[in-house]
Amino acid sequence: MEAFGDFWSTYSTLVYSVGVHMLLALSIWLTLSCGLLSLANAAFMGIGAYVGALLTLNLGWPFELVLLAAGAAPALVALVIGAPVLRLSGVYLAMATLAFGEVVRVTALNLEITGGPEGLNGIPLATSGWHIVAILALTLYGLHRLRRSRVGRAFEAIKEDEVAARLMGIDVDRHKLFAFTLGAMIAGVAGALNAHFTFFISPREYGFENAVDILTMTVLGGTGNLAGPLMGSAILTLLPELLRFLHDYRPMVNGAVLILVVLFLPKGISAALRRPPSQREDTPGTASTAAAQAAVEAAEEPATVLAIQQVGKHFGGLQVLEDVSFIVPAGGIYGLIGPNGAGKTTVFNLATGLLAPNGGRIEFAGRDLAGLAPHRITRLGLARTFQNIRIFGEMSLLENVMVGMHHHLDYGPLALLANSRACRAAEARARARALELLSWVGLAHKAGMEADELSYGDQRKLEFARALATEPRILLLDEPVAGMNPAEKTALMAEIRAIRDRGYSVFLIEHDMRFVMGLCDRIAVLNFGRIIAEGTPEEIRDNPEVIEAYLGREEA
Amino acid sequence: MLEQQLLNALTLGSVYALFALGFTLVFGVLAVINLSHGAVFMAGSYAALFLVTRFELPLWAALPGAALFSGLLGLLVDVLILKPLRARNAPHLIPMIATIGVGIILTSAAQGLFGAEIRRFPEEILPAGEFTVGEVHVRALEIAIVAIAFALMGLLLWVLRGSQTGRALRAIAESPKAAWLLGINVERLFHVTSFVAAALGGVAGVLIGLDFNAITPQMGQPILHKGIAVIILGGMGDIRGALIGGLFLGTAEVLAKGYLSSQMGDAIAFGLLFLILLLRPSGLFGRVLERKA
Repeated sequence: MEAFGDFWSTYSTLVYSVGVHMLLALSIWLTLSCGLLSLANAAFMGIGAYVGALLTLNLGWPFELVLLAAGAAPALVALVIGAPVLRLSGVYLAMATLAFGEVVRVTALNLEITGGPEGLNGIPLATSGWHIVAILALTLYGLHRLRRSRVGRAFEAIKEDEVAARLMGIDVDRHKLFAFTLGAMIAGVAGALNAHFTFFISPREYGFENAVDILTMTVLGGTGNLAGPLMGSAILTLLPELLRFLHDYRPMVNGAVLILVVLFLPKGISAALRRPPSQREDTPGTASTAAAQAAVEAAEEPATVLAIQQVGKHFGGLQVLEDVSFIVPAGGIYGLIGPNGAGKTTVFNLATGLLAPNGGRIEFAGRDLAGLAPHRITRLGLARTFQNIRIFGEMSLLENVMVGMHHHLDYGPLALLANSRACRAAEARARARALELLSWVGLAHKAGMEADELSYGDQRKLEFARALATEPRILLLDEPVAGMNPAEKTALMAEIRAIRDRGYSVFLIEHDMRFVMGLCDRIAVLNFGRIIAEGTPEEIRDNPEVIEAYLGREEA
Repeated sequence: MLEQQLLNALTLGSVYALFALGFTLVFGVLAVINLSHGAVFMAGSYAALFLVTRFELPLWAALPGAALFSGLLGLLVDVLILKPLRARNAPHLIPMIATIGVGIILTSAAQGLFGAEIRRFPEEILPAGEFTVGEVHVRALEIAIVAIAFALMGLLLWVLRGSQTGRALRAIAESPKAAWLLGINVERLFHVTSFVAAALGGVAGVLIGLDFNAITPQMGQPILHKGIAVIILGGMGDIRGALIGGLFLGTAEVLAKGYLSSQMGDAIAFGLLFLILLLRPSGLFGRVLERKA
């Protein structure tokens, strides 16, 4: 017991530091898990530390209240700067957050209330081991729940492919802001905990170097799971103690660790220690049916699903679409054909809200789509696939499909944290529906595989299932048979008919004439941005203008 | 008084521009934000100091020596770290994180070798002349700094504009793959770019070291942040933008220090940077050589 007392008096600060670093590493893990490299967390930690210390020193608030305020203050700042900053991506975001961090540091350096360069001294030692353990446990539990929920899947989807995530009905901007703000809050609490056992804080502790240290911990541990940041921060906090004999050369080890991990363990230590996963998630059980929903929707379907009216689009001086009008009726398979560069994919991008038309009007089920964000349009019941398949490669098939159900899972944050019955039931229903959709396209037996491992044809099928998971009224397919051999094309035709027979409308782009002629009920032909013909396959086949523009060349 | 400030601004701004030029060149050609550029800058000034004090070389000989040393450092980083990451097709933030590691190693090595305290060039080797034009007090050293910085930048611009290598580099900046298909030795030009950029950074380090006559292991950090501000101001990968941005930032900083407060200089840089990122992420000066990573 006495030995422990000695140990504790020598090393308690070190043990506390491990806990605080774990919180910081988790805070940056959170933003990284949604694909954001933010270097602002050291600054958020600083804001929390200063706010906390000032409340304790000047107002004598109880410590628990101080911790709350220390989390709330940086979260508020994150909320304010988040909206403009998070529009930036990749390195621009990293640079902007770095600049923000410097602004915070320089501000603390110059303000009187923060004590200028000398910082704040004599902060009461209010942090106890229990505070750190309790907050760490709470954070871990919360993040664990988050990771296994629709929010966690949305984060992962955003990280892998932002555009595809938007078109799965995910409000990407809100999710990013949420991750950024929650990360700021965790960092702020960590800062206050830290300030209340180190006695003293100064602006030096919250600069670029610290932002990098936190990042290093997370990268070292690995971002693939929650154990990563914990391991990384434990190692990098304890390692310097063991390397005291290196004196000034000590930071070199950190630098070398960073480089070696990036070069040789790209997924971090925690991933390297794990056994290679044979199957992620569990393998399918029996799928309960939820197809009734689609049938109900089909019953109240109006006759027109998608109406394109006098739509025009130009990029700079290049007119891509000019006065394009056609109507996709409900319940059938509609084809839009035309030579390469005719503007077909642009029509899809306009309909899904990825681009805004320069003129004209697009109506979906009687509703004007002007000004609606892509995720809103998806939620109205319009789903698409891409010419160059855009699946979430590092997620399992099951997760890919479940991402599509994002907006149908509407449990709240409290239900999620409490793991309530409603939340579990909703997740179970989503899983069953996802398995059902996977079995429609014949992939149920591969539900646990990573999507990247699938063959090209299977990836197309997965993309179908994922799009259907948004419960659309109409499915937009962008060159579904691109790169397929004749046998695969025939199989896919059957697949698309089966989708139609289940009550979905299908609208597809293609330049394989035989495929379109054999499959579609009606066809519109686009050439140089204009509709030159519209009608049944027979009418299109006999139209002289079409033959000249398109078929003529094929038959020659 | 304003004239004096403007002279200071020109001196500081020309060095910022020289530093940012290498920084932006690497981004334009290799599509990497090289966060070790500040540490290479610091290494350059220590190299010159070492050559001057240990081997008693004159400054005009120590300067190319420092350029060579820092250039080789840049080359080493490219060959040992960036090349394997390119081969693996790592996402573009990964090389940036690796260069943070390089920066830490270099800074820590300098501190271990030379100590944390401020080191100075011996007074007697600095160009001593000075004269007054009107009310402006001009040091020969300042003239030398501005002349060297502009000469090197001019040389680089001339090479990029006029030579076959420059055309090849611009082709790579557009698309490395297309350049490779055209038979351009892309890997070799990546190495050349890394060497040249780091050498320019090293020279900038020597010039700043001379101007303030103060060298510390930490001196790379603030200039790195300013370099980031400059290339975002000028548009990432934009060579002319870096030049104008460097002069602009130098001026803003000197004037802020002169007329507001000494601490405001740094706040200006980052406040500006933050605003530009939010309002005009492609930079102030139009055309951008940005590459979609």
